[in-house]
Amino acid sequence: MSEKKLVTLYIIRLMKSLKSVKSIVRIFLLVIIGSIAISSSSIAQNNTSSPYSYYGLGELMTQDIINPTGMASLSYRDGRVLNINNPAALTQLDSMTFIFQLGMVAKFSNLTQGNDSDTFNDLNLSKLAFGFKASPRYGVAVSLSPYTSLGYDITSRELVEGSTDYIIRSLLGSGGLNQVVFSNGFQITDDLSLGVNGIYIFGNNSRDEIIVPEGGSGFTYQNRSKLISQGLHFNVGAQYKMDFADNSLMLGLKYQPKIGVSAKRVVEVTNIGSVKYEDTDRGRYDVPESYGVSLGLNKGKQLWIGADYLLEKWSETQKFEKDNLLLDRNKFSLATIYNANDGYATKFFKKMTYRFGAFYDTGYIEVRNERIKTAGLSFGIGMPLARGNGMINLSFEFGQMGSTKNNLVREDFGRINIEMNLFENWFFKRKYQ
Amino acid sequence: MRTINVLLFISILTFFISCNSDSYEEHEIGDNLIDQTTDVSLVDTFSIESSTVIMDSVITSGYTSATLGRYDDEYLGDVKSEYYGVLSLNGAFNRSSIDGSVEDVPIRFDSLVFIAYPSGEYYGDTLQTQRVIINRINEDIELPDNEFSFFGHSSFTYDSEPLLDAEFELNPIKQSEYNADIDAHKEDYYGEYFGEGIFIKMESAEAIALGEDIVEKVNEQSDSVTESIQWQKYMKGIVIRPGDNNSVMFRVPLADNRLKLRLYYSDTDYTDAGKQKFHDFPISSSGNNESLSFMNYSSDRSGTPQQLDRLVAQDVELASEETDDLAFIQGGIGMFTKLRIPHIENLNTLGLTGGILGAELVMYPKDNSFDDEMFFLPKEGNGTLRGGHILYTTNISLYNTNENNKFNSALISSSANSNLTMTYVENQANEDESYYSADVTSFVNDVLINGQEYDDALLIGLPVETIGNNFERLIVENDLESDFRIRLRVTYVIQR
Repeated sequence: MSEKKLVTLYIIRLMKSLKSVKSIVRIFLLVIIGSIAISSSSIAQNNTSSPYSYYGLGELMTQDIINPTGMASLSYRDGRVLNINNPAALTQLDSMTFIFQLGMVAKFSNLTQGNDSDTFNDLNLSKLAFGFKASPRYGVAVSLSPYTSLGYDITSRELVEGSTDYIIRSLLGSGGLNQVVFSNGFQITDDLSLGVNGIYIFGNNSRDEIIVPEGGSGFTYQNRSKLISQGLHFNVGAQYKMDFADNSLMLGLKYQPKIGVSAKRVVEVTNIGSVKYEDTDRGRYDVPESYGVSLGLNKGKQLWIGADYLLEKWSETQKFEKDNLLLDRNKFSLATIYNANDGYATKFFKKMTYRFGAFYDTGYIEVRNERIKTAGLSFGIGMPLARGNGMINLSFEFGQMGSTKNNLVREDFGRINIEMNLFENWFFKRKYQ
Repeated sequence: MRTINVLLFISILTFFISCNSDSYEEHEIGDNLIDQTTDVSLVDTFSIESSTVIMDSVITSGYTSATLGRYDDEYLGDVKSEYYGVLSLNGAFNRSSIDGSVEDVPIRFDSLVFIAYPSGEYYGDTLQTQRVIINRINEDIELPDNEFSFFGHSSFTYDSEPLLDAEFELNPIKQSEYNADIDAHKEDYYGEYFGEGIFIKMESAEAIALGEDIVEKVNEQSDSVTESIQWQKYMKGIVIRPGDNNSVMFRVPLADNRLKLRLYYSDTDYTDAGKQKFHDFPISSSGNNESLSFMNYSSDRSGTPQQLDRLVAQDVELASEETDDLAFIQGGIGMFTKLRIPHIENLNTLGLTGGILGAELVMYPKDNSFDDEMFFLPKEGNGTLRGGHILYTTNISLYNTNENNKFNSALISSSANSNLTMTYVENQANEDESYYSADVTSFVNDVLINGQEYDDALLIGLPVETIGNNFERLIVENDLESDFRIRLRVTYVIQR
């Protein structure tokens, strides 16, 4: 897979500037294992089971790379957090520390429609990232994470028009788009940092429709269509700090231009063992022009409170020169992060970081004249590993997507995120080994 | 420490991936939210041109049963079978020997009898008195040049004076009862014939002359009655003909000597003198002569309401428009319904692309053209019940053809590697809505993929392999204005 190669290439280039062979080998192994797992899982497994993932490019995966998901993050910066959502935050990274991050997510959802309900469990790798401060004014990170996901699997029994016979129709959506993000943060002044994310989107959205006559004569009709993404885009971010007394106020900004990402669309129709139609189309699909603004307040060294607003202008996007019929997405999120460790803590609970978040997301789709909105609450803890070698972040999120109005589907979900962060002191040479 | 972390990652990872929801479950939630890219509908508006075709040569020899009789069909006219049967010597016919001594006893002719045990299958009216005429063939029976069988139009000359010309009552079910002991006058059944079969004494001068001649040959110890080849030269065979007013056709199996002439005789002297003895000359069903017995079919269609006498050769087809919107299928004579469905490929022009999920050819029998007593519909067995309908298998087969009306290949059933046959779907509630149906999905799919020539068509009728010994028939309705026209019902998926 060329995507994996790209990641590996970058890592190799990075390695050349590093010294500790032992660490290199170790990290390299982790990256390999992680990327194999993430790529295979994002192809073979679903990140979602929602019928709404049929629309647009699929269900939008959260881009808030700090844990828990759904929290405000654009104005957050921390020495040991890879905040890829706003690359400007990378300038805050601790020097001497290489951060490696692997995230997993388990989603438990209950779909309700009318009197019917159905439960799904979707468990997956959600991110793989590493980053470090390459120079005093430059922080860098590379990450791999899902961008959108398809995961519907719907079977219906239908009367053939004009007949008394029935057919069984299966609509299957699988796969999704993944992104490799190359994040760069530059410190311009003591108070201002700017950042840019170079993003390569790869993967495919597969949509299959399979029709068989009821009673099983063995004759089938299959339409397999795939949107295969293979293109680049970028976004930029900024963070500006204003100090007063012990506190500081942080302004975070993000902008993403509308860019057509190169893609291939493959359609294949087969019927009774022969291919009836085949078409491969090259074109572009748009990522939306987006604006993000955020305000964060650091109270002392332990407490941070922030709020984000994100606008994604999906209504203007097109896919293969056809309008997407999507709506602009508005997302509001809040977060509070409290680091209980004042620097002298000895008890375990005192060493942990506590996080609370809430979000309200209008989504980008409208079905049957209803916007499919999502709202959720989250709670998380960060547990430091012994000797400061890393951090395990654990979070629980509860949310609701859509409603049962107009015979729509409401999804009640709970999500558990587990994120492993490893900190390597690469640039630090011990005097005595 | 870090090694432990790595192991932890991998184990959690494995756990996570193995815990996913089973993707093979069926979920109906949300089916109203997702747009289908296809529409599925039944397309049954194909125009179907039907006509009737008659076979030039129906193979009528090589069967293990004989079709006898005649019926008068309201639609198809008079149909008559004359059966040319080769009589087998059935073992050397010798005089009786007395207690193993070389001295033989001359025998005396008693009578010649025609015996037949029908199979029970019949077609037509059994209530009327039937007539059977048997003549002796006076020409050597030989296969036509370069052929391995006889045809419905084959014939040989026979003596003008019949061996038998008699009336009898046909009771095919009862008369089918065959008991070998009774037939052979074993112990308790000595003397009179106690069997149920058709048993007619041949009392004509010709029959008596033949019987006496055979007995004389036996007494002379002629090789004509001891060696098959000589016997064949002497007794070339018989033709069994119906009378002109017969009303039923029936079948007689050849196995167990169920169709035969029997010569009764007795010894003239010694212990068995005067005791009833007999020798059977069965129509041969096996051995060298098997393929030499055959049916000659004739059909007088001159007075038929649809003037079916216009069918003169296989390359002539009679369009249904010229036959009151009917098409015909007949065994023995070899009539087939020809269907041309020229616009199947138009399906390919619908939508972006498309495909079929099923195709069914439906034909309705003409109202009142059949009944349950005499003029049966072709169907087999007791059927199986499915959703208010009884499904009967039939042997009505489908063949590819073109403008020559030749049988190019049989349509194959999609489920098994056997020839496709139609199913009779009997509607119990509304008998009128019963129909014949064939799953022609593979055929239609083939046309959609490979196209078809303008003249490509289907021939539908009784299987070519057995049509020569078949008296079933079917009158098919194809009034284009009617709901009961011949229809091709295709479940078609249109890709938007």
